[in-house]
Amino acid sequence: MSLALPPAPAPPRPRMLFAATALACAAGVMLFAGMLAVWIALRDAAGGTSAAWSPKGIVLPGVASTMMLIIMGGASVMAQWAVYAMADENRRDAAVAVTLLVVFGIAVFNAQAYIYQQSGVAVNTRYGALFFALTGTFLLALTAGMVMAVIVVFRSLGGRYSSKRHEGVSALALYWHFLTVVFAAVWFVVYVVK
Amino acid sequence: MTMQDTRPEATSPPSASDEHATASPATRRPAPSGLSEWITTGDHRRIGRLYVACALAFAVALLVVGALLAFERVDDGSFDILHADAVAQLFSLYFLGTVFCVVAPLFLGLATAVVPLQLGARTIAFPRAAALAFWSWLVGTGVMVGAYLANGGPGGGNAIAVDLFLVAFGLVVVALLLGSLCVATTVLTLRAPGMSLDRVPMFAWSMVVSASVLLLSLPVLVGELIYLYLDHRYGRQAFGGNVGIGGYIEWAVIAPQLFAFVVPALGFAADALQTFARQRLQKPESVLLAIGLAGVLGFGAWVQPAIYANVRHSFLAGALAIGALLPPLLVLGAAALTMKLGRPNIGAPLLWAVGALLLYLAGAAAGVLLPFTGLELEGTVYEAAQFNLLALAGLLAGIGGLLYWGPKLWGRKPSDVLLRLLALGGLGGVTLIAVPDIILGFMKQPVESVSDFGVDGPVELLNALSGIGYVLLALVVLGVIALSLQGFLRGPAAADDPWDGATLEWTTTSPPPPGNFAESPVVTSAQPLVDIKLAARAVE
Repeated sequence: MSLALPPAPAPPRPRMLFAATALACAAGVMLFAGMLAVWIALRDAAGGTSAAWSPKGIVLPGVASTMMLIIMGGASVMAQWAVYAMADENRRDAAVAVTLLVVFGIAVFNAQAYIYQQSGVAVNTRYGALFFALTGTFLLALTAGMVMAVIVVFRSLGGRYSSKRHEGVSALALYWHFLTVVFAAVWFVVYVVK
Repeated sequence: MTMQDTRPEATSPPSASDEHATASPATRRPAPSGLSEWITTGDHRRIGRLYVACALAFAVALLVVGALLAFERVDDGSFDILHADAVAQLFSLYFLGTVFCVVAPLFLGLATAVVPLQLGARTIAFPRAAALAFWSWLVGTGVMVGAYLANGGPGGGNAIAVDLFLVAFGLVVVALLLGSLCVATTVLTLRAPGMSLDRVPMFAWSMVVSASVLLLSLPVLVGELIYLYLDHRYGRQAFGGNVGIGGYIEWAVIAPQLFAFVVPALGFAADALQTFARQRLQKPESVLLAIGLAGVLGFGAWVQPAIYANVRHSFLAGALAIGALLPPLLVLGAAALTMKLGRPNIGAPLLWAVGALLLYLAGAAAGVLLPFTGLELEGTVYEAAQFNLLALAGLLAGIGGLLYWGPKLWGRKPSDVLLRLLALGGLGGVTLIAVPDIILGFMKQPVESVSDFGVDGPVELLNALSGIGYVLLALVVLGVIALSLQGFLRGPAAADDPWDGATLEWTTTSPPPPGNFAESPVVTSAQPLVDIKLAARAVE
């Protein structure tokens, strides 16, 4: 016979997805912090100046990278708009905001592809391996955010969220804020400090 | 694919027929059975058992590797057993494998199976993700071993196999991170009503601490693996090609990072000691603090000798190495006080727990001397000794956890007498492995080398003793596997509360029903089952 404790009242729905997303974002911050730290350490070992570090003849398009940062900032605003809209039970606006997230994500991909094409960085160099690894990892994280956004759009249109239960939208917004913060750091180290 | 699981937010336990109750005859599919039932399972208890079984099998294989390397060192003038090219690969396989293929999955498996039960939860958070984590880890481990066999480990001569190793190792790390995420989320969000974080059982607390530290430190390793892969695959300009790889990943398997993997040993020891002392754990806040401190001190992503050459000899590294002594001492103190006030019952899991705790303390103590440059211990087998003390403390604790919670998971119980003897054998085996290496470390025998030491003294005897230790420990693990198979599958039925426990997992049936608990329990202290027993006695 099993020992029995007194029955509990029905528990509130646990905020598992939000907690897990927060943990994943923390892990993601450490991923990029580690990659940037290695980048900075190797740059210092190479002489500590952009002239000594980046290969000769390489020019990273500054406008495109700054546009990426602005787009990511806009994406963060869209993500938060989706949360506020869902809290107001405004599903249409929430769906529009999250759809725009996907569009913004595609725009960032486009800008990054432009940078890859224009900069002429070769992957078989010391700088190139690190450059493609760092920016490629960001694109991978961005892809995950876009997939999450597509899922949230469909769930939103399917009526799975309400003003009181929209944990998925909150988790999505948190993830996109994380992406924006991470890209700001990558942008500063790779495209500004060089 | 049909996943067998329980949704965490389910308000009532699912019955066996629920899944197909609403399906039309045309869409109804038979529930998977046999092997497919295990492959497609989302049941946290099954996933946990799969982890534990695979980790123990890997443990035996890696201990054999350790024995081969130790016996090869007996005569440093020639290669008697191994090929010269294989030695560096096998050393790397032993160190990486012991942490990422044995200790980490062993604790993760126990946590996946047991932590939801300890918390009064119906299942683990994201059971499908937990299943994905296990299978990814298993595939990654298999491919990683395959890459090693093809001369593809760090420093390996087969470039394609080295690339494969980097990808497979990355998969192993990401899988362990995903599993850790599920466990941490479970502890943070699925606790029974009334179970605040300071009332969480010590093993669950140690797992959330360990998982959090791993989630904050191992992504740094993932980032480095991405760099290493791209660099090795295309240019080999930035990280020294195949030879440089080992330097950039070794921090993940040495102290202080190693502590992050072994922290759950403290949690298991505290839970088991409380149960077998038949007394509420004394000074629980000290134990909570000790486990938390062990986790904080186990954040080792900053100790990267490949990037900062003298970081291991810095003042901070020395201070933290001394600080690492505190957690096991605090847990031992609380355990001693609990045993003194209680009525100890010497069960097999208790012996495994005490052995693991003593080895953890010895490993932390050994680490105190490493930062002192005057002793010149870095690069000697002294480092291997510290590694073995800590990592094998984790192995012993993991086995203890299997024997402690096994009766709950299987509903059957193996022979306790033989397992007590094996506990002593396990402690003896690790001591035999580590003590000769400590002496040889002071004699400056280099680590990861089997020839031309240029060291005077009883080198042959000490290396032979170390090899015998590996063999003894491998036999002990084999014995545990055999007794567990016999006992958990065919042994006598276990009671619901076979050890007179204090925490929630012992309130449900052995094995637990689908959904774990017939009713959601309410918790009013850190030892809810003791409260129930005292209340029952008061009524009588």
